[in-house]
Amino acid sequence: MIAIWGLTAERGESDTIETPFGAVKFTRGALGGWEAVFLKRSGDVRARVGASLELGAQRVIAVFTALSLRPEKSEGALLAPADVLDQTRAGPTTFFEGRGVGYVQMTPPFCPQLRAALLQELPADARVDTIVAACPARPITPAEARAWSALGAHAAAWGLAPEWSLARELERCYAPLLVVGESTKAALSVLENALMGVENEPKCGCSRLNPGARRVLGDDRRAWVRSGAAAHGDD
Amino acid sequence: MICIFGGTAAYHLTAEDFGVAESLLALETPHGVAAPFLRLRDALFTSRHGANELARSAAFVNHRANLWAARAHGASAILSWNGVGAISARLRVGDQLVPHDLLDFTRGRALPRQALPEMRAPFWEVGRRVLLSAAPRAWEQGVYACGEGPRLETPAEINAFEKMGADMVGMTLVPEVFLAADFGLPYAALCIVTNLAAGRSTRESGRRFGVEVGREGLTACRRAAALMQS
Repeated sequence: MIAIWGLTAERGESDTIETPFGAVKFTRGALGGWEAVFLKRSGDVRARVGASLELGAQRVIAVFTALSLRPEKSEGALLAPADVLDQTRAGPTTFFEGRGVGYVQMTPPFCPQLRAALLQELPADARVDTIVAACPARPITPAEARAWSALGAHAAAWGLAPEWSLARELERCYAPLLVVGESTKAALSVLENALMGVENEPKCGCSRLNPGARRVLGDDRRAWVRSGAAAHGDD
Repeated sequence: MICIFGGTAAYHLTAEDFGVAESLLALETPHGVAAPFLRLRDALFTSRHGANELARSAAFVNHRANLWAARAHGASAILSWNGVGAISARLRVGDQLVPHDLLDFTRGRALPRQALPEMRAPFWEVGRRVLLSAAPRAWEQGVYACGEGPRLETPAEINAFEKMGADMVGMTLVPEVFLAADFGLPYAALCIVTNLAAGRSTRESGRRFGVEVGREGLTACRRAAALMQS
């Protein structure tokens, strides 16, 4: 099972799943020989991350429209970044409110195996180093675009943080695929082909990213989500 | 009276490390329940992240309650120790620094309200000098970048912090140092390099998070507290 965030299924069956952070709508479908669940970016981000876990998706491909920070990347260009600068200021940072866990390593920040599969299907210039996770509530200013570019970023996407770090806390394989411009349409055929090249058995270290949570809360990651919702409710 | 705020590995310290110590009850403060404190022979002490285990990450430390309690227990200034990841290439695991400045990359932490815009060095210079006497191998200066956590930083973030002038990265000094000033408590810190930051560490560079880090921090801060009294 693979979860696709930010892309609509061409056909599939709509369904709803309950999570400790609320109900989440999704579509069951298929992509590149994989059973897939498609989830939109709406509602509580922890509900979507928790729902993908509950549905049995070890892997998440996160599709975004993006703003290019470099003149050479034009509308429709696809990017599979290696790294991220988080410039967001809001949203939940963790499932582990009030606890001493969540020190998740971000080297690398994204699943190397999923990224490699994406890069197989993309032109060489899609292999960018860094993108910015920008605040989804407002436009990016030209000065920010210059500053971020000077800090090494190639593009900016809305919504990558905090979904990415929350997915990593639950030890999901997570890789972003960005399409410069206003439509993610170009992502579908790339994903279809890339997923055919993904082996069933993960060869990355993503499923062992959070030994601290395992030590304190046990092996069942769904219990990590429940405990997060309980702590959140205590506020 | 100096109050020591223990950071990394403070929760691994045991009665033997403290010597003669009186337990002070966790106070109910106007800002919530504070951490329990110890009255040592030469200083007050509390562990930010928990008394016996790493119970809460930096964003969930109640700095305000702890500072209120420190003052109620008779503190007139704060010395702390903090584990940091090294950004600057001159730093090695096990190095110590007494930071002179900081960059804030936290989000939405409880900060005091300022009346007027002002630029001011955040650390207490007298405390810095005394910590340097108590920890003679510490680097005399350093810029501390404070991340939000609990996730660790990405290599891209560390590169950006370095370009902006940071030497090391941690998660605790904001808002603590600013709130301390608000409580009228001068504040200086000793940073102990526990690891190299994201994108800089190698298999050989090592990691240090054991009780020895807590002992080093406690020893240096107690020595500084004793120097202050003499």
